[in-house]
Amino acid sequence: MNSKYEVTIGLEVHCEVMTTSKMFSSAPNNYNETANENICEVDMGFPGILPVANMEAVKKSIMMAMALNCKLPEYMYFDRKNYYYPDLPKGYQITQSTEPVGVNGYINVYVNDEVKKIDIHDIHLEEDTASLDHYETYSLIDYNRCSVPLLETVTEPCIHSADEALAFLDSLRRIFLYTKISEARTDRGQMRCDVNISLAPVGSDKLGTKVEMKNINSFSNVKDAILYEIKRQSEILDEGGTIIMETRRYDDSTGKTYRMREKVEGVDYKYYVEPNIPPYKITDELISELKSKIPMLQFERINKYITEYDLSLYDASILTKNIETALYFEDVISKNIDPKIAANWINTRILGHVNKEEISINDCTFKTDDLVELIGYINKGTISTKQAKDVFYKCLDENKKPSVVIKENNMEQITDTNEILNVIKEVIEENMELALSYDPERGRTVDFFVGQIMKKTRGKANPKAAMDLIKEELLKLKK
Amino acid sequence: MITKEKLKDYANKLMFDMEDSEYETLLKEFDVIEKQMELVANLDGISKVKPMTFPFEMEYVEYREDNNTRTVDYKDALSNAKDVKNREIRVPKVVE
Repeated sequence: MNSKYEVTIGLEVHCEVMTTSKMFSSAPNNYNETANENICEVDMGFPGILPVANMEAVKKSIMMAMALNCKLPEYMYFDRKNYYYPDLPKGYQITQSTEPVGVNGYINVYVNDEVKKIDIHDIHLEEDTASLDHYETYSLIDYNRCSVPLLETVTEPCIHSADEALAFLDSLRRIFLYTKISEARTDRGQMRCDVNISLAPVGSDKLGTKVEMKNINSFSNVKDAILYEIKRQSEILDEGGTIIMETRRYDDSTGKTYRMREKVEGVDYKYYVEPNIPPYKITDELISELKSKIPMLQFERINKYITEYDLSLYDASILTKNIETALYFEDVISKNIDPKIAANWINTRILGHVNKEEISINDCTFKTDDLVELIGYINKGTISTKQAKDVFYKCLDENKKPSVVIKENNMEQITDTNEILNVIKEVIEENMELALSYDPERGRTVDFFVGQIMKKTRGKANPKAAMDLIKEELLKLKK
Repeated sequence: MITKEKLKDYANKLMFDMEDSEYETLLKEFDVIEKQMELVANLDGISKVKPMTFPFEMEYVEYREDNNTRTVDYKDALSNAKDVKNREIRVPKVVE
């Protein structure tokens, strides 16, 4: 990073809304690889069509606006944005310009260990366009995506690094997932990002010339594109050149951005209110109803876990990556389990298994009650921590409860002092010479005897009890 | 003020061309429209009038419930297209 220049970034993030039908038509809204399967007359812009807004999409857009702390309008209005392109059969896109569903919002995100406030200019509900596949000499149009409900979130130019941009995108995606507003799958193009980036000398009160990068479809590509653009623009400025206001595209195969077209400021889209969709009053009752459906989001949960449960930011961040894991954790600790122990088990063993199997934690056969039971056995000393790991994997492999696995495998620890002492006496007699040479300053003799005890008990002796008792017995021999 | 240069610029942006006689016809039409707009703009208190996009207060508006779906068969939907390939409409390449 060239420290002579301050980087300023604004993001425009498009995210498809999860609904049964499309935004303005009754065609199904689901991902379909068969071209032109999910289409109807409205999507194709045939003469005489009338768009009818999808209430579920409207509700979800209001929820998202509230989750982003935006100011809501009194009425839901739609506008026409007029432009000509093959992916837009009507010649205009139904969107929101005069009264977006949310304005002047913000979210707080963690960038490494620091909290950063990202200001939201607006969020608006619109319809997606058709998708174009480009070949050597022609392009093909698939209308499946036409009129899929789309939420566009526009940040203020308040982001100053690739890390901040990534932290924002990740947090935004988590909000979509927590609220179940979108599946937000970048691999299916459900979440796409335009990046506006400019560089200005440090201390300058003016922003530099803005370069736009359109339709970047993965977060790692956003990061790479930003880093490349910072380098490219810095080099031009270092050599005394000027940055051209333009639209560029990022090619992930080369890791470079390429010029698409010169950007014309203030393209006139001839916006006007969509006359075919009447305004919908956003009532206080609707706002209350939707507010109650927004769960505690990731940022708030992280802070709660840190302050109330004394977890590290790292552990809290992993537990809150998705709401299912957070709810799993909260269910476990509601049953009197130490939060740190629960976090350790979930973040290592359980998420390790879930990630390996590529399943949701809800589909994991090791339920919260099983973890509570297992940790209970460790706390009571019935099994050791090492044995608990074996029990955990056996539970998964055999789809059994911890109590059953422990019983079937005769894994209960021997905690009875007399029983352990009997084994210790046997071991000492078998190794009397070593026992007599015991030096309390050196631990290796104790380790050897503990090893022998574990061998004789097939690992069932409580290791701590065994160690304490062998030390006592060896000391007695010295007297 | 609509001028021939402006119309040529718009035509260029919308990627079509017109004969000179067509420009003259359009200019005459815009002249009438502009004069009428000027008359309206000079009406007393016009700035206080709200846009009449939705002139009537609507007490009850309900949007569509999201519970049913219907589709049109792709063969019907694409039947008027000049050029279809692999279930999709083929157009000249639109990116460089």
